[in-house]
Amino acid sequence: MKLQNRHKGIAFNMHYWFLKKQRVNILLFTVFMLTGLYGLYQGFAFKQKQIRTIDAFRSEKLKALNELKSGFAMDTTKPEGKAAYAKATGIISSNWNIVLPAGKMPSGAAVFNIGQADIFPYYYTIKNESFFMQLFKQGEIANPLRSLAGHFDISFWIVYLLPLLVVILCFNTLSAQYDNSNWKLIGSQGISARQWVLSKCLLVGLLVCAMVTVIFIIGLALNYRAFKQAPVAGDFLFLLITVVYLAFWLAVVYAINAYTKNTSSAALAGGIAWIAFCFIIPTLVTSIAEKTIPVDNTLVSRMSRRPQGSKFDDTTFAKQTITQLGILRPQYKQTTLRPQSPAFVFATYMSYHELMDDTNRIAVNDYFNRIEQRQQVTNTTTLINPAAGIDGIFAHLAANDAQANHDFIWQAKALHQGLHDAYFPPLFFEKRLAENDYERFPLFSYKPATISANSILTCMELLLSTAFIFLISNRRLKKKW
Amino acid sequence: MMYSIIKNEWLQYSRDKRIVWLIAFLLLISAFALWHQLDFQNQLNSTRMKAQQDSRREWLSQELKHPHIAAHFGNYAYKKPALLHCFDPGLSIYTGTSVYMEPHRQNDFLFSKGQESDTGIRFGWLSPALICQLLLPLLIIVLSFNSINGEVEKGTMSLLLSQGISFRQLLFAKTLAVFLVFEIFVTAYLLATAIAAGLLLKAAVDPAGIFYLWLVYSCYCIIWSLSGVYISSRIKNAGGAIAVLLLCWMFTNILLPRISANIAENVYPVATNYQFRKKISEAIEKGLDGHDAQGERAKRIEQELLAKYKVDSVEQLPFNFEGYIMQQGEEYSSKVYDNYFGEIFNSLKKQKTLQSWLGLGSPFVALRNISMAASNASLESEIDFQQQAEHYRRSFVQNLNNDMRDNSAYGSFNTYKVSKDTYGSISDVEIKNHPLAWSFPHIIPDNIGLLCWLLVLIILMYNRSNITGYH
Repeated sequence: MKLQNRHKGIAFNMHYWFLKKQRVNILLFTVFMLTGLYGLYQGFAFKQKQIRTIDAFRSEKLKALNELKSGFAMDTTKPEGKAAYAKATGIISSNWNIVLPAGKMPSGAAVFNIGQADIFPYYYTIKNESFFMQLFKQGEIANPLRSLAGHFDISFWIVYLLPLLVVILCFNTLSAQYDNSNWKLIGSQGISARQWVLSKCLLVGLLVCAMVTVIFIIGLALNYRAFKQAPVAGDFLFLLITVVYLAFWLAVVYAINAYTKNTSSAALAGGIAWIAFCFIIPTLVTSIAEKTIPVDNTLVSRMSRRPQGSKFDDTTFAKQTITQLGILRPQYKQTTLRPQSPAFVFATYMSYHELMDDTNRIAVNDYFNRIEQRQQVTNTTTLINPAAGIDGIFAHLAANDAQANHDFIWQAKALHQGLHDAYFPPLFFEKRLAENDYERFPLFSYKPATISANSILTCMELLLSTAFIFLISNRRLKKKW
Repeated sequence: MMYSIIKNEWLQYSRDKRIVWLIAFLLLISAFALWHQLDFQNQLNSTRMKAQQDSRREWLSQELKHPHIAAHFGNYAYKKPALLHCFDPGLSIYTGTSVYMEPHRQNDFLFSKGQESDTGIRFGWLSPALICQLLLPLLIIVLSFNSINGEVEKGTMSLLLSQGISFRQLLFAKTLAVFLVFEIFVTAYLLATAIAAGLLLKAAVDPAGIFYLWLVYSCYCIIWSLSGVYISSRIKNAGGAIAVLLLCWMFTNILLPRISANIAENVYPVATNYQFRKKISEAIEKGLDGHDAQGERAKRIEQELLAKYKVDSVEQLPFNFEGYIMQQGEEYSSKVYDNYFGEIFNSLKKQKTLQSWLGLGSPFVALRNISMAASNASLESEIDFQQQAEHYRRSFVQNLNNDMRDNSAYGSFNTYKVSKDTYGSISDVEIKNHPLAWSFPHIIPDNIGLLCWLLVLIILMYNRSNITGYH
């Protein structure tokens, strides 16, 4: 055992010496480190842009709300004071002016993964009218050119580029020595093929992990310094999953060394493995998920239509609508609103919107669920689809996947409900809005979803496939060399 | 002699099990990609046509109401897939698919495919174009990486040259051998896609578009065949040659497009929707130059009208002033939207130009732009779709404002309703896809880039007159 360890140590030192001796390797590591820093910069810049936008958006909307509220303190003997007071207290006029902001603050890990954050809106204006009518009119200006090319963030660096570095450094660890006829010399030192490849994988693994750790620490420091975000468990899980993913790729190159005889076959196998895992399998799995879980947006896309018209002036229709709302929200069952009241038509209109939202909720929920199921397919097929699976988990940890965005939408829906809870009592019980009603308007605070158990499961799946590849390659190495 | 070499190369390909398996894999995945894309586009076509019809039905069946309230009920425009989206869906996957059109506001295009997919879409969207752009070069590499150095390693090079063929001719013969394999594939694949898409979507095939696509994809195959054989003639070791070629592929097809897109966005950033909407509302409120407030504009128009018709109040005008001023407001807001949407489109166009320049180092970037343009899925096509929809929005809102102006009395907002046939008189939105000639001017630099690649490689190959200079 001691002798074996000694041989491993010799092999490790030899690899380290070879690696250090070849300047191209230093250049390679420098280039990869710089690309990592560039990826971090991209994630940081994107996150900073989001945070600045949310802050500006929120302060603008809250300022407008405070200005509206200041109508209570105005001198109503003057015309402008009277107008401001009417604007703040009038149940119909205030409706157009009460706008609450909802913003999805990026998580700590968002600096490492942009995910789908560029294509989903991350701030919404919430008014009293139908939530879904407002929701499906608000989008973010997505840059299709960048979406087509993809982000250059840390996730891309880890998922695409680091495996490439591992393959480049290790693909011909054994075959190169065999091709150059050096193997006999190395073998004469008592080093077995298994020890030779394993020690190279270990060395490369350590160096790559060191690079990842440095980038990771810089990312956490940036988060703390620029955004006042302290590290959380999810951030460390990000690092842990990265290490597992790199171990998987080390197992792949270990297998390439075990199963190929010469450098050209090894290069071919390395290239094919990289292309298969980073390109062919993910696109195939995505297309299968598309086929097996169809998503149709045409129903939800038509929820933006504003239901207005003379039907709201019809007293019978109005009474029916308000009664239906009373069934859905019993607190408004005993409404004191009279048909001749100026707010009656408006209350009908708002009731209709509330009922519409209640009906549409099912269709929206189904639409969102189907999209999330597609993500589940990608995340749970990590065994055969490690790159996309891990990328999906990264997006989940960074709260930048579809699920996180849907979660944000449901939180915004809760804010909309909170607004109704403050606004509807004066409306349905024929009162003017009072200053304390404004105090009851909710403030939005985004709560990131808890980390799904699937992340751990994915990590375990990947560990299993890594162990499996190592084991069969080990057997092959023992037999063949 | 060249014919014999090509024949011999093909014989060797057929004997190499690795190549046979890879070709079989290419055929399988290509068939799957084609089926997937046809099925996807067909489904899109039918669901969007149905959605457009449903939207129209809802529009026609709405109760009789005031024209402005009817305008607020709004209309929808759904993007109809173009026939060649079955080959290359391009940017259509990442842009919005429908828009809600209403007065006062140019809404965003929402519901992009990217929002409805898993994160795996970031790895690429499986389509025939993706196969031809990314996979074909890989297979060309596999077939060509040892085409010259392999002969040297096996010791058959001298035998070949002793047959009376020059080294230069040998290089071109080997290139031709590889190229022809993929040329047959590209031709058959494009034809199959066009015929199947035509039958499925029941749309006329644009022969010019297909021919042009065939031409540029053939050019792309020649570029990679030349690169493969050239590198094989420069690098003695087959392992080294394949490693270099694979790294070239990764750099030109994966890294450079991504780096160039990210740099282009950093150089020409696109405003966030918040900044964009804020600028628009400020410009509508205060005027585009900041010195023409909304209230003052309305007052000025009122004064001009009163002077023109020589009346004392707007009630005395021969038309409803409310309808008139509503349309004036629409026209001013349209100007504002044109201005700020123009800024966004300009940023995107500049990004695309910068990407094309940075992409000169990659034939893939040039080919991708050309392919998207020929398939009606380029940036310009997407902008055009938005502009056509916006043109429709303005015309339908104008129709209803004019109805209000001409047929209703001043102050009759709560009582006036449109006549029964007004809704039907507003035609449904119809978005047109453009032929190749429309897209071509936008891709001239990319065409030049691709041609430059071809010429440089031919010159390099031509200058390799003997086997010396091996690395």
